[in-house]
Amino acid sequence: MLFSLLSGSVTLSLHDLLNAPFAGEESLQLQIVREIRLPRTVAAFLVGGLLSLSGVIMQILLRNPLADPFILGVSGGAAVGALTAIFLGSSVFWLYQSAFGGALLSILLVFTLANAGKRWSVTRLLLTGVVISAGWGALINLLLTTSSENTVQSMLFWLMGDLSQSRASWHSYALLLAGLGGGLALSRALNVLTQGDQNAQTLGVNVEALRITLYLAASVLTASAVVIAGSVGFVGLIVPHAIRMLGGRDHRYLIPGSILLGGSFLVFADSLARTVLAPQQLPVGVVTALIGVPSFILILRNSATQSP
Amino acid sequence: MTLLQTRNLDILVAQRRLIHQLELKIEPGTSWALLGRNGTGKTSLLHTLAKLLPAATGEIYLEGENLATLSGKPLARRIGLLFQQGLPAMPKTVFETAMLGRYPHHQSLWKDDPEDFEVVENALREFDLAHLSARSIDTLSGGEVQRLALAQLVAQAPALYLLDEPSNHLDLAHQLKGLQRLKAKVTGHRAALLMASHDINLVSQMCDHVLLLMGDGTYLAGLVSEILQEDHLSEAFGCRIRRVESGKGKAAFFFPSA
Repeated sequence: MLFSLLSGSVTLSLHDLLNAPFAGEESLQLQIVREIRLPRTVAAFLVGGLLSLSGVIMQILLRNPLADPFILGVSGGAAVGALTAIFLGSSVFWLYQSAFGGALLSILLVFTLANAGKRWSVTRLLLTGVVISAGWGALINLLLTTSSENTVQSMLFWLMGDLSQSRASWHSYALLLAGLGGGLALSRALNVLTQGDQNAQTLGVNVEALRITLYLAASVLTASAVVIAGSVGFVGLIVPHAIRMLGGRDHRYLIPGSILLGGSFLVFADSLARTVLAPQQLPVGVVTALIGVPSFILILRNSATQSP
Repeated sequence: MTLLQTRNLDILVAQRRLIHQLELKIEPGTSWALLGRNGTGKTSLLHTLAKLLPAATGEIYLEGENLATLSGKPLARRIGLLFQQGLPAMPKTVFETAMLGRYPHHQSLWKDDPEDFEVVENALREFDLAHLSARSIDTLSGGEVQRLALAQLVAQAPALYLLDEPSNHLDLAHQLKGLQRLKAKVTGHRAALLMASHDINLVSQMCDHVLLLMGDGTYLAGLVSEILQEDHLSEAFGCRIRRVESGKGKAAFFFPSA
């Protein structure tokens, strides 16, 4: 966090940071910290937390360790919304609205199709999500190929996940807190759900209602993260695994652990994204993958040698 | 009070009427065997009694209460089901898995109750799993997984134990020991068990009542000595089954013969 506040194109020392609040109104340092870096750091933490929580939920909902927050097409819908806004040259405000609208549309589309007539099943949900994702992918490519070079640049940044324009609204704080609270309240039921639907049902979990709740919760969490920062890959996939491998398989610990690690990880990745090639900024999604892959391999190796 | 009673119960699977007008009365303290050929509806009946499947017609009463009015944790405290296919091999320890059986009893969302630990430790000990407590369940053998599923069910401590082939994967010693442990939960308590099985010999030693499904929707229900007769069994299984007495006051032996 501190590193994130101090680093950037203009380097600040810890002394500057601590003195900033006491300097004059017009101090450049204070402005940088308050107007740019603090909101960005907070936004990074929120996005990391939202995506990691959503990843935990998706992995248990689809009972698939490869599930990530984007697997059911939420990010695709948001991306099409955002890219359309960029294509039309809309303001940042409309970009957010459009991205959120796209995500909601995608959530409802998948939910309705997966539920149509038949009983709710994991395979049906996964298939529908993947098909809808592919549809969004095609639309994204269409938008990219028909846009001018300038807009394509900002579109690509958005697609790769970018925090440079990010401001987290109070909605996202509320959502993350609600997600944490709800997740903790449901964590015992989630533990039971890992045993399979029927076993969970005979142990007293209302599986159908829980699944619907999980799907909607994960989708809305993802949507709000995607709207803030685009499709920041990798965080939602690996952070839950990292916590599990470190011994947090019980959802009572997995949920808060993932939010904390995911948030910190993204803050760290964003700090690097801003500093490594300063003054040029990298999309944070590139950095999460570049750090994420080797650290994941390291954790995987360690847990493999430790297991009895 | 009668623990479980069905009235006029019909079960349909894929438009086939597997069970027709079943009138079953299970009293506390009794151990019931559920016998029948493959595909006669043993698992479907157990799942219907556990409210996983809807009945086509008829009612089920649990201690006088209609099953339709019960659900969630209160139901899970009273009916527990051992599945035929055992437990999925999730990356969890033996202890964590058995602890899931306590889910319907948890009072707090977050805090662990020392009583739950005690119950789970006892259950693991009863099925010879205490030394494997910290092991990941994907390293267990088939029989160990089955014993763990039984331990989870015993930790759940329902009044009605529904068991779908509980002796699957178990060696002879654990078949006998495991079922004796289960029986001890039932005999003399306000509890009962109903176990589907293909092992007539085990059933004749362990159970006092039998529900024999004939395959055409009809059934026979009654004491072991009444139902486990050569003619009934031969008709139900579609092959000649012989019964041999093993001595006065001892269980009889059954075997198919050409």
